[in-house]
Amino acid sequence: MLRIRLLIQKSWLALILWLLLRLAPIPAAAGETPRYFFYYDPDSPQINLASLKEAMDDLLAGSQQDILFQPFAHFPDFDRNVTARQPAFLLLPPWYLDLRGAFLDLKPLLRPLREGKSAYDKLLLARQEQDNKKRIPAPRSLATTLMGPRSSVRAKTWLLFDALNLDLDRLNIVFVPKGTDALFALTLGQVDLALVAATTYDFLAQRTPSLVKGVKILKRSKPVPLPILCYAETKVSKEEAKRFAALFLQRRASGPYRRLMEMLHFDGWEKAH
Amino acid sequence: MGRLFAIGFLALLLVCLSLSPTPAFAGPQPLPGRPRIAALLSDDVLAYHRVLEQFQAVINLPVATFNLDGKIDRAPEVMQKVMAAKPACILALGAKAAVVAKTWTQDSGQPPVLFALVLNWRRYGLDQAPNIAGIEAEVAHATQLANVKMLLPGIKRVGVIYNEEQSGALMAEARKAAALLGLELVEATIDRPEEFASAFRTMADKVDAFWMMSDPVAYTLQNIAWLKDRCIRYRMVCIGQSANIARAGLLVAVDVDLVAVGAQAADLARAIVLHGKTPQEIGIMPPLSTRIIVNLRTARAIDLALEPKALDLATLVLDR
Repeated sequence: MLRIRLLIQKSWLALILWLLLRLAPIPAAAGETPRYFFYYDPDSPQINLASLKEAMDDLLAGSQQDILFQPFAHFPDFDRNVTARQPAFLLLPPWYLDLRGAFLDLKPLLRPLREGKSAYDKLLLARQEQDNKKRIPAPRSLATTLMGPRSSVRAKTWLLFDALNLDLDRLNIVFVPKGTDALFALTLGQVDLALVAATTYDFLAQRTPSLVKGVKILKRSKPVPLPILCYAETKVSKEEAKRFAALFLQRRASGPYRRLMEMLHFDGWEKAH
Repeated sequence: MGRLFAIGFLALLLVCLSLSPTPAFAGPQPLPGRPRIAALLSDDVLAYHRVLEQFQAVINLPVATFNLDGKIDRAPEVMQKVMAAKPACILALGAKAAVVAKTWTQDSGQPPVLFALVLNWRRYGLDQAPNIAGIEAEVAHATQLANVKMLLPGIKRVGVIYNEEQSGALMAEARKAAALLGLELVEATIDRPEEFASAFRTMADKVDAFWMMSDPVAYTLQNIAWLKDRCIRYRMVCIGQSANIARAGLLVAVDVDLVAVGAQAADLARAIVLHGKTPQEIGIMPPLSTRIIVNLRTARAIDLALEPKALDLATLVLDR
């Protein structure tokens, strides 16, 4: 009986210690492990993540905070690393904030702007049939970037597009890490439909018109919010978050900031609250 | 007193559990009673494991893994275990796994088989079995050309050397894509690898770029080594289809994104197992996601000024 009581007492102590460790915020003293700043945006036309990291590292170098920027191209890698490393700052699609924000204690900090708006459109695209007399078969496949958990894509597509004359349940949906993959798959006849950000379509239409010339826009979506800059409340004080936000709000006309904004296809920021 | 201790301990344990990461957060967790997938690997190859890792991260169904360890004579022993697991679908990675899975399922037509990372899949008749769907191992020629056109929009005439018997059918598809993209293919056919150099010299002054397609006759180590120097001597944009060929010195390569192949396979497997698609409805798809690799050292050597916007479109820029 005595041994059981001792065992319970020891377990109490171990549990309390574990609880305290878990609740204590990680100090950000110099010389300790850097805090992570993760980025994931499947709808960005920026493919070269190494040069994005270079530009962001240049910007962060002026912050006097030990922050390590890590961009991700693939959702499973991003999600796994968020779980394992619990970053202090994130620039991520709002649907991910809905999915994991509560668990990570994420607080929105800034919203980026593109052409003065904090949202963008997505386009549902099909191939332009050259032979108008040809009977067009019902579409069987759709290529898209992620818009949330894979299981929610049909529902999300319905919500994005009003009066969509399409049987989504019959479609074979293939997710791709970048919008250009979806667009090329459509142009080249590998899928019947593509769902891409209007930014990607416009960028390619301007850069290489032949890549989009055989494609037609079936429908333009309701506005989709741009990625959002967040911080983890358990890891970052309000003061630190404010200093971090100031880095992005300074609107420098040249240098790493300008290059970074070009890569992200953003032209400004606004406070998220 | 002891009871109070125990009750307090349980209460604290519950608090701690509620603060722990939930299983849903830690990644997709298979639920009991859900369809099972068997992953059959040809061997212990890094590429197979990378694809499998992403497949497992995305599929959200239980996956049991089996490995032939490169030995086709292990097939009866391994396949008995695979079939005993009653999988709703077999993911076969590599040629050996695909052929074994095809052989063991062809009589019953069950379960459906999805293959990936099989070079020259036509050679194994994988498109002849109604229960088999798959993802090709290489980026489609059309997709390579589209990516190159996006990176270097100024290119108009592209030279290509191939063996008619080996690649004639694929060239028809490439010609169609080239026309769509506003490219003109300048073609030469060869019967032996040794004819490559003279064919290249004949077309060198008529093209803006040269595309080294993976034709078994033209694509030899000797020809690659020879081509690398000629691309620089002729100041020519040379295009290949693997990161290694860009590392060897060609300006640009359009390679398959292995991580995305794992996710694409998972999406197709879900379509079969959960949404009732048949393998025939899916067919054999090309890998849809690509990586563009640019060798910046070669760009400088051929005096090609790549604007930052072009480099922003590359997945990887080699500068050493």
